[in-house]
Amino acid sequence: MAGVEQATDWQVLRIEVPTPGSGDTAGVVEDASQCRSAIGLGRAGLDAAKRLATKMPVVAGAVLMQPGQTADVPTFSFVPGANELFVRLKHYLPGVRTVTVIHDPAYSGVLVAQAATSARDMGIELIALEARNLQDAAVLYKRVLAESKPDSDAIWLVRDAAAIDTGAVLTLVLEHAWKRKLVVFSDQLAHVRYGVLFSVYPDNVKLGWRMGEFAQKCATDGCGAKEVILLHDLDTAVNIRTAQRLGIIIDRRNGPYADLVLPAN
Amino acid sequence: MNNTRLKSPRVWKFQSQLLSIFAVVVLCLALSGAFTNSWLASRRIVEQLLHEGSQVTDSFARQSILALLYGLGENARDAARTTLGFPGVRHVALYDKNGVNLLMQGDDTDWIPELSGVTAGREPAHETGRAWHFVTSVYDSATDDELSSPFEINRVERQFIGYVHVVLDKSGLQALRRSVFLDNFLSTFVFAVILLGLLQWLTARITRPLNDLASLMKRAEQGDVDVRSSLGGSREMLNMSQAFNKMMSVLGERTTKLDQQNTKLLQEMKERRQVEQQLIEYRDHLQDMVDEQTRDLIEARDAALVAERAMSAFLANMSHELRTPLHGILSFASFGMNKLDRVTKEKLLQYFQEIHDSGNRLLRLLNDLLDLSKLRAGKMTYDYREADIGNTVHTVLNEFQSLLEEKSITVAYDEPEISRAVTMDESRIAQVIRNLVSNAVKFSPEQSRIDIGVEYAADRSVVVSVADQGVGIPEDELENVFSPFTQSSNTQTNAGGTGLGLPICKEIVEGGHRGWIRAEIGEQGGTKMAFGIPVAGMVGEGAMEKPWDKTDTSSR
Repeated sequence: MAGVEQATDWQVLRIEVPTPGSGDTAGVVEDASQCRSAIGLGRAGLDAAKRLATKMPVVAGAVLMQPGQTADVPTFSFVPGANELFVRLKHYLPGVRTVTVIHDPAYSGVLVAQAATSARDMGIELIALEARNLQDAAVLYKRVLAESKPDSDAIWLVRDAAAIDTGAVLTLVLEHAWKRKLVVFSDQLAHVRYGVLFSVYPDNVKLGWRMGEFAQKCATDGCGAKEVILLHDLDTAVNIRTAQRLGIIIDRRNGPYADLVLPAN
Repeated sequence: MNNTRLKSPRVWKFQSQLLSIFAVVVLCLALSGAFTNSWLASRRIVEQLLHEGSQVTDSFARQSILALLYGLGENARDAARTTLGFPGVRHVALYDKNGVNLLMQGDDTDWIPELSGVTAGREPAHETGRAWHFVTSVYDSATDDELSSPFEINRVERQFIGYVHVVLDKSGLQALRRSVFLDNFLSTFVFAVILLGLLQWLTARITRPLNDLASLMKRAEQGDVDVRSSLGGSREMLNMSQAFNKMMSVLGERTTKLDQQNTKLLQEMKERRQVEQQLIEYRDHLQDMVDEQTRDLIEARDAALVAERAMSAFLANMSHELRTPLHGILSFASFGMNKLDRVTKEKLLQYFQEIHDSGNRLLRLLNDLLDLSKLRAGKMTYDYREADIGNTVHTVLNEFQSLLEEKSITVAYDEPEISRAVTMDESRIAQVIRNLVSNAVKFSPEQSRIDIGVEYAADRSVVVSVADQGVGIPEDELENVFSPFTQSSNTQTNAGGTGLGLPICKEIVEGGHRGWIRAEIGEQGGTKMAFGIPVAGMVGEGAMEKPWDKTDTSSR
């Protein structure tokens, strides 16, 4: 909210939206009827924004929406743009040449396609392996982990329920990567705690500023295309143990892409 | 008392009763507690086993995710071995989502699960007599945060990847139940024994005053009414002790009264028996008593006859004594009247002299009789005065001086060196001395000697003795000489006295002066007459103790 209020001199009205299934959002629509534009945060906020879309320009945000998914309103997704990940990968591992990602194309096909373009621009070959379920993914991970090279290959754990979980498959991947000193990075902050080298998380103030500015622009100039906007205002979390294992030096205080270093001690 | 004593039923001591009740209760509690505890423990054990079985199954499922993802049972072999290492786990199996067995380890199973629609849960999917069968579906390991993220637009669901089957053996449960029961029973039994020991100590402590009181009651039952209780303990025991003491006090008082009454009754019975015995003795000796009384009566009759004879003799003597001078008077008077003209004047004067002498003798006799009568009747009056009895003796001897010279009798008067005043009727005592000296002169031969003594005795009396050298008095007549008209057989022929002199002397000395008088055989063969009177006044004093009462009878 701080970012939203910083982005505009308009009065910002905070309306709490009931969680899905716990209440009617009709009251929210009525409360926001006098506003010039609205920003819906979270899944419930997105639902409310869709209902307000006929009455005023609306923007949604703070949701995990893949690019290519149908968006009824312009939506700022929590899914980071792949180029942001590759920039950080290049920072930590300048010699990387290939990045392997296992994903369900039905869910993250557009994201991976966009990522392939970004990777190519950065001189990285993105190898995308398709898995329909965890069993397929497990088999693929087993093979990728066996074939990857520590200095030039990296594995990207994309947010995809059919490709990775936070239990058995993640453990399998990280165990093998630890043994073989392979670089594994993820777009899920929680994976840093388990042992991936780095991940990203939203800079909420900047994201709020961006959504506030976009909402005001929508009210005055129109919103434009109703598309999913990937996250580019990011902070970086690094696992210091994994970095040490890989021989990567992390400057806790002044180094770039080290906003959060885990474990803390 | 009936000798056949009824056999009473066995009576337990109070402490034994308490201990028995406690023992039964504690034993019942031990058994019921052991059963209850073992049942509850068994239930808890079963719940625990089921919980552990469920946890083991879940754990095995989590560890089998990769194996199921890979479709390779080999990947779960370590997890299966670990699972079989849990106590009671006898069989594990792994199935993919199509029900194809990927792994089966452990003992043979008596049940194969039907895998359609199996969901995870704490209760076993199936229970046989030998085992519990836990079957659970296995899903990927997506976290709850991932499943319920407020930012996730797309619905995320866990992916079903297979089944696990874990068999938990029940064979050890029965042994465990028995072990738990035995452990419970033993521990409860040990506790019960300790509790019984404690109860025994406690009941002994509680019942000790009761036992002491019972002992005291036993002593009281055996007749000891002096027992008293000094028991300590609880307030109830103190109340009982006080009540017992009060009861024993009342009982003691009643017993004392009963004893006194009993003693009195026994004494009365004894006296009654004595009286009865006396009555029997009286009855038995009644004849003796009658005989004795008859004898007494005969003696009394004889005594009366003797007295009668004495009176007759007295009267005869008195008549004789009176008639003799009267006869002399009448005879000489008759001589004078018949011979008035034929006799000379000198002869006639002789007659008159004889008449005069007989008259005087008669008068003297009558005077003596009158004196004796008055003395015996207690009508004689005495004029007591203090006088020197030695002078009295001198006066009397002077009266006999001519007569003594006439018979050439010498008098040896042993006069005391110091004379003492004696309270007496001097004329009467002089009469006694005169009588004694007269008798001595009368019965002493010529040229003899009369010894007269006056002696003051230690018992404050004066003793006067007159001893002659005459014919004496036979020893068996010494006491009779003091009877009226009685003279010694040795002197009767030459008496010439009235026979009343010594009885009068006896009355004067004994009756008038509370003294004594007696006759003895003299040392020189004659008679020794002696009397003694007290020196002090006589009024109000008892009779003087006689010398022969103080000395041996042989000296009398």
